[in-house]
Amino acid sequence: MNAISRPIPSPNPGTFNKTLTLADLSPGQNVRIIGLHAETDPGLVRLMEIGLIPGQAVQMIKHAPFGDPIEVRVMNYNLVLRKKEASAILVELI
Amino acid sequence: MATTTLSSTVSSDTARGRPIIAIAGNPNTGKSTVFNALCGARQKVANYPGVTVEKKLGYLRLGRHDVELVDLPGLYSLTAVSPDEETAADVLMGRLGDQDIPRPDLILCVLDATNLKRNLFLFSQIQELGLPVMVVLTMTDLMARTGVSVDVPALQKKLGVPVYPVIGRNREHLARLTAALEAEIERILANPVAPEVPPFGAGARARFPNALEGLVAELQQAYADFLPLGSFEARQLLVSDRHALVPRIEEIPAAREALARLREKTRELALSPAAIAVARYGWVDEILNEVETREQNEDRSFGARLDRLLTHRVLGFAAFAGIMYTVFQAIYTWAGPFMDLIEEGTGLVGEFVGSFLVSTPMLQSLMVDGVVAGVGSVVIFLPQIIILFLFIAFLEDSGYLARAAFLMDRLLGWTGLNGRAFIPMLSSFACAVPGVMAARVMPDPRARLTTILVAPLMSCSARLPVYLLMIGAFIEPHFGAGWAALTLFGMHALGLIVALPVAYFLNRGVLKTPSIPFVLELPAYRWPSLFNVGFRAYEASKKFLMRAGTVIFAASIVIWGMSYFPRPESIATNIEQKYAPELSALQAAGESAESATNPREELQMRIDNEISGAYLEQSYLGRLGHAVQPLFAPLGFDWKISVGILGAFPAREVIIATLGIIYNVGASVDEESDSLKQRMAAEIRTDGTPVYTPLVAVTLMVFFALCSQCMSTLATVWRELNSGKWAAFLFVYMTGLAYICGLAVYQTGRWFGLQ
Repeated sequence: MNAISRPIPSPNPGTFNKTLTLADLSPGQNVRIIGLHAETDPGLVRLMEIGLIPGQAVQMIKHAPFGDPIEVRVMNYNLVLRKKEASAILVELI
Repeated sequence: MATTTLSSTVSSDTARGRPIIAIAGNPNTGKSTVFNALCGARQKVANYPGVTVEKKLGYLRLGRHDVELVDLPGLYSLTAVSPDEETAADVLMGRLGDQDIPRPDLILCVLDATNLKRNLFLFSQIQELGLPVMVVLTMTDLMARTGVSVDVPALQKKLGVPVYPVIGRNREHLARLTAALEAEIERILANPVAPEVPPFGAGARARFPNALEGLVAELQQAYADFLPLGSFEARQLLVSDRHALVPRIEEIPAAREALARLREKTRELALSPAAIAVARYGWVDEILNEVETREQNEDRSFGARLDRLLTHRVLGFAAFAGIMYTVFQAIYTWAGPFMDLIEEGTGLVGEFVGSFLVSTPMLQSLMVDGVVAGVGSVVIFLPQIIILFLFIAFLEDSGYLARAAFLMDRLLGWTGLNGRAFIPMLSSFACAVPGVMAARVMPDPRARLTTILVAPLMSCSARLPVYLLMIGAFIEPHFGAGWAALTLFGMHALGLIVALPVAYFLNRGVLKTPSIPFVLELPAYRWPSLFNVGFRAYEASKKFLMRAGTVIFAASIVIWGMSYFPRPESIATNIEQKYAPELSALQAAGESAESATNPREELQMRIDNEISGAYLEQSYLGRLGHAVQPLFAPLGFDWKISVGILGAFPAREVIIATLGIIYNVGASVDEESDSLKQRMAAEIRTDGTPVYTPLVAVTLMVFFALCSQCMSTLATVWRELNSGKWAAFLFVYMTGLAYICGLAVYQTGRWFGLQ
């Protein structure tokens, strides 16, 4: 139950260590949340409470004009958040 | 002592009055529609004490009982992040008991059927509060379109509480709901002590680690005597330091000690608020597996296509400007016929009242020139106010406002605000008072302060009469209707444009506001309920008319008195004597002459005009005007406008009443039928040039656009921030800005050779 979050170490420690976050997606991409950075941040707890929890599928919808914030679809509703917050949410493509 | 304050959290308030039902739910779930459908027009909007979060109260007759219905602000979670969520959570947990807001007897939890997952998260918290809960399931008519279907009997069984689907204002649905509410209220009144487990079946609860639940039970036990806690509150106390009950607990040594000890144990288990959120969603998933089926044929094409246009990087802004332009165009054109009607009505009322008072000229003047002219000149703008509020309510309820916030976030970002601040700013276009209050959606206190301080710069509906008068009299006749609407649009854009650098200066320079997160739901587009939109326009017009009947009425009498007194006979006699020889000469000639125009009457009229002008000039109002006029001379304002500005500080629309009175008192009899516009256009300076030119009109509008002239707003800001200092700051900076910008406009215009 508490085996969530914390940045996931790269599977191949020798290779390029880069994790995909919600802020890095292009419109239409479907991802699954695998964890959140620093889950004790109250702002991030709120993101989890409104549905951005590990295991949840998310679709990237679009960027706002000038690239920020972004709109995603999660749990059958559309959510807007800034890239700064989105970059704390680790995802994998599905 | 401490025990008495703490006992307010116990839900035994039923004994002392009407039963209370609280409606709680996520934002955008159709909560207000349920509320309106249940109590119709039997509702009022009040404020929660201390904070000015809107408190919507309604009344409902359930069988033998009068029941109070409270429509709480929408919230996603009981662990609140903004003042409005906090208020909702406080009411539900009975923390406002000592402020005369008893804990509700029953919670009506509104769930959106198309988004059960997120909605059930809140439900899982609410069911742990230890109060009876009933569920209203909304949006079931949209399920087909979103590819969702919900097995309602299964959901009811799983949750352990009654579930009532309600679509809009469907009578059959509402009848079933009210019957169930009635039975439930009867049951609660018969047995006022709310059990931890609802009697209609123990529903499944979210499961947390056993170790944690053991600590929760231990804490509940330890507090049972002085602070009975629901399991939700006990658990929150254990995992979170920032909890509203902490100050109270600090007062009681035993409570403080017990909490510290149990928190230590919780820390050892490494249980965080995040883990609790995950556990709740685990419970939600378990339920949804059995009650919800989801198909991949979800049809979002309408909303998605609309969004492609309305949030497009170029077209989106064009659409925003277009929508706003349409609003102001509509205000300007649609209201015309209704205004004419009101104007005619005012004239008739004036004549009617005046005809009774012919024998007492002073009373006649008070009623006709003071009250009717003053109040009437403001009431005439009622149609515009209604149209504006209809549009704002429509934009908000349809879901567009959230798109505008998404669009504008980056534009506001550099100022240290975010897209969320755009919502209070846009509602301030209707009125700054609800706008300032809407700033409670800002989670950060400093960002909220900035939002509150710039929201009154938006052009509210009380400025509208000033713009319309000036534009109607001096822009439209010279430049046509197109420019008139564009000017109106421009005046409204001005406040927004000025607000950005002001916000930047406040955030970066003064308050050092930290960068704040921006998280916002974009609700599905929806055709707003006619009742909701209509009711808001009705409330707004009621408030507007109340102001006209009180503030404007009182101001009209004061201003009339100042313009009428002192009134020494000698002034009239002197002028009459001056013209006496001329008049008698004409009189002698007049008897023989047969000319069509009567020179004697013409002269008499000139004499009357001169007399009323002289009276006005030396009245208290005239003296005051002359005294302050030098201050406003660089802006091109004469003493009458200066007086108008002075009188408008309590409420800006008073200037219309002031001008109405000044030009009515100073008007001769045959001009009675002229509108205020015509009289103002005819006004000339001593050198014969007109007082009002398009440049003066624009200067005056700019001044009014930026000036802080509203007692209600200042009082709201004061109350909201609990600081007279910030209210004073607001007044000083806006008024200073208005003067400087007015000066700049007028002097620049003059420099370009304009009159």
